[in-house]
Amino acid sequence: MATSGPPTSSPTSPAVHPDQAPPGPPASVALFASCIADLAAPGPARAAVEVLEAMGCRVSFPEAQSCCGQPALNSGFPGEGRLLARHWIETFEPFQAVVSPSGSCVAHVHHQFPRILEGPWAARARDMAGRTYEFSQFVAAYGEGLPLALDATVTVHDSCHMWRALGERRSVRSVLGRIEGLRIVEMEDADTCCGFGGTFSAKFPYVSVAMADAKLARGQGAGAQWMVSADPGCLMHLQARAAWKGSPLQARHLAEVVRDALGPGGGR
Amino acid sequence: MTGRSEALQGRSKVVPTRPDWAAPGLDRPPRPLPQVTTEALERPGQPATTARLDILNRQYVGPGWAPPWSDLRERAACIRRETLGDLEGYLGQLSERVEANGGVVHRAGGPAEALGVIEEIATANGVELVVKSKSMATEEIHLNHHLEAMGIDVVETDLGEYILQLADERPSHIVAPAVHRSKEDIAALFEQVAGGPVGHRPEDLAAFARQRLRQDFHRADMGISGVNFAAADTGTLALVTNEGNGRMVTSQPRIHVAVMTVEKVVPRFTDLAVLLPLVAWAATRVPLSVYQTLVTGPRRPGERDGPDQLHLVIVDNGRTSLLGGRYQEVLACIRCGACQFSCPVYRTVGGHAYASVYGGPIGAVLTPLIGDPEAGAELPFLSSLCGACADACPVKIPLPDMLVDLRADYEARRPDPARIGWAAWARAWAWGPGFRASSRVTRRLWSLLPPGARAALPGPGRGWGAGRSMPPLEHAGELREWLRTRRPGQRPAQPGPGPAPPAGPEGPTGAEQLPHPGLDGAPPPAGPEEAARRLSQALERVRATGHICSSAEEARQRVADLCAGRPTAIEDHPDLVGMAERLPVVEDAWEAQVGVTGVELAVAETGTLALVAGPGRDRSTSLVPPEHVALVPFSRLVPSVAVAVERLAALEPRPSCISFVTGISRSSDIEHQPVYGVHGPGKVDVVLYPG
Repeated sequence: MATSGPPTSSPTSPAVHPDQAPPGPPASVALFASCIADLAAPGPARAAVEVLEAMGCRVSFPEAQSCCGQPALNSGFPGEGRLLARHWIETFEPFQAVVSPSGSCVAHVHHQFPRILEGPWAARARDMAGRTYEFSQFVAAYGEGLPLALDATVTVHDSCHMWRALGERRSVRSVLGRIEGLRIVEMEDADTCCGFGGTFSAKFPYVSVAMADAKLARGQGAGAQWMVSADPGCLMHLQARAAWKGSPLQARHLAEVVRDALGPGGGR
Repeated sequence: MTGRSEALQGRSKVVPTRPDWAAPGLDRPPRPLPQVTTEALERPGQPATTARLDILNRQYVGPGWAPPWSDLRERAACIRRETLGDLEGYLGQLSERVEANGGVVHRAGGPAEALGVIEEIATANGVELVVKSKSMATEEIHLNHHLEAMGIDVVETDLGEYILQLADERPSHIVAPAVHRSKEDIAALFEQVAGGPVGHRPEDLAAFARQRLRQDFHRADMGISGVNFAAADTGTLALVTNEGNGRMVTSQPRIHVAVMTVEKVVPRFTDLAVLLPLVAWAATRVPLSVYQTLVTGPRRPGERDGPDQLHLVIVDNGRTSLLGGRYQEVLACIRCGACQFSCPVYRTVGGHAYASVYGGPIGAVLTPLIGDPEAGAELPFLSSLCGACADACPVKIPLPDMLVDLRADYEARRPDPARIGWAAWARAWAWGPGFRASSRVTRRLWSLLPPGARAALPGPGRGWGAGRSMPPLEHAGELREWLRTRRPGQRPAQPGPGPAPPAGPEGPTGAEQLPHPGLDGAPPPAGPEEAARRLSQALERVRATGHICSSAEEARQRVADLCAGRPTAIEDHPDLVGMAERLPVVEDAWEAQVGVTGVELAVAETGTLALVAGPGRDRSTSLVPPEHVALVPFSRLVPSVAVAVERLAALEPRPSCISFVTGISRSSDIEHQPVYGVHGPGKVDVVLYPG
């Protein structure tokens, strides 16, 4: 970063596109649930497992997994962030593919691991980034055959790290678009931050909440029942604010919407 | 000629209504940032400011980068990094060239030194009245306050800055300084200084300011400007404005002091062909701002206007210490303000809430790195790290990564008790059993606590609980239970053939390998007639008028008709030989209703006129009268800005001043509604003919 060389920037292309993916999903994947799923929001991770299995994947859950370390790094503690990054790599390295229902964590693996780790660890990080998928990317690439139907009107919140750091801008709508009967209504500023921002939400709570209010108002303005996102962090924040205000809008994870769309006889 | 400012008459009658953190010359936040930002949310008018900023973000940043602008962005990113690779070398070259052109260069380490230099120039020349065009560098050194303390009248002449000077506020945005003020606010302010009613429409308010500022331009002893770019190879200072005040400030007073921070230098004059369009596009999504003034030295013998003295003050203020370090790239910034529009936190709290000269993402990175490191220490935390700023940045500065690294620097500098917590947390969570244990403890504790007590716990929960229900931590561990009970004894899968690795980011390309596209993406015009047609269409887009005539005689008659017998200033230009006899010519442009000029070049793709100063070719002719008529033979048409800059770079001798004029004088400083004819002409006619 300190050289006078060419500019650095975040990737701007999605990790996987349906048209670039090899035929058929990998036979087995490891699930990285995220610490939010482990501690507070198990629903989306459960739904992700069910959808992946419906796609014919064997899903492993490495028990040693915890957190990617993003909260520490973003709070100013890179040493702690590195410790957890190395732990994450050791935990998931035995697996050929990793899928996570958290766009922000996957972006952290892709963008920050190679940036904060050094030497052989950086190389291992790059290798892991090459086989770590955000859930919607994986389903967009390999879930074409899933029979999906659901009667709902939804709007999409494009979560920041997935949209920008990971560069994935298509997969959520592409997956939602396969659900028969589901209507997507676009809201204004869909790619604007919801105000979560990790510890930002506690350090500047009133600013964070004001941003959530703007987001919820736009979703309601679009006439949606659900605001769908692929990021547990955004969803925890939006749900918490919506609940506090008694907002009729529900914030829901994409994985749960897809699981519900599978129906009783869904999947293979 | 000198005297006191007319524009500042009545200023003492203004009752400031701003919060203390919006004051100019603020050194550090008066209270911790979480408190200041909370106050900012409650500031009257903040929802309206947010709504305005949201619109500007959608308009200016939302469309993203597509060719040809994405190509220009790549080139600019490389040019800026090339500059930083040998900053001292380019500064040396720049200083040498400016001195060779007849200017005086002053290097200043910090604000005190810079103020001392400017004070000395003012004192030596008996300066009483200073007109200023917008400059963030002078905000940084708190110049106005210093000059006022010396008893000098200093007038901000950019409309937005003038409003803020009267209101005793700092700019809240780099290029839209008064974006936080409504037109009603501004009208109330102007009524206080006027001591009577003024019209409330943006055009009335702009006219009020124009009328008050006009005499000050004419009578000022010294003009102070910033510098957008300084070309090292020619010693040329480039200034970008829309209203025309930048041109006034650099052409009317007898002394011009240009203040720049070190990183404004660029290697080559021809780099302006990339950077001038890009900064306009990034800031306001137009291919060029209305005016670019390229100053290469003071007035030359035989020239009737322009400053006798040109001083360039180059301020470091901590920047060169960043070279070679992890934050070097922040110096690539070209001050377009796009990162501010793009930032949802900035839009929510407004620029003043950052309590620093620079707000928004660039401010949150730059402020703690320059000057007093403690002043902006908390700023890197005032971001949700959403990354929109990195996408918006026209020179690809990795602002979010820098914010993350600055947070680490902040924590490393101080004994934060949270450090112990984070260390213990990381150690526990980097060990499978440790994480599972913490999950069990969390669930247990959470279930024992009555819901009301959960938000009262010390730690991050307290902030979270302000307006949000607490996260349902009673679910901790449930996921793993579900997985276990559902499929007991499952073993980790054997590694199998995986899918193709996701594509990584594309490697950046060197600037020299990229094509330099036309700004409209269209192929160059096929012939002079088509070029003239395109120029006329481009002029229409910028509210000027093209008149395509079939002969030189018809064109000359058209010029005379447009002047309509009114007092006319005319320049001594080879294309205008014999024209003066047909017009009621006045010598002084300030007495004229119309200014008639030739051009050096005219750019078909943007409708830009390139005018050069010289003996008999005054800076004022195309600037001071309310109307401007240019006579342009087809032979002076060029297809693109790139070709124009290349041709102008080859001019010998290099003109002391080149002005690019693209349309009519414009301001968007009042609720971002465009008003026209602010300081430069409100009517521009370009008469074209084959020849």
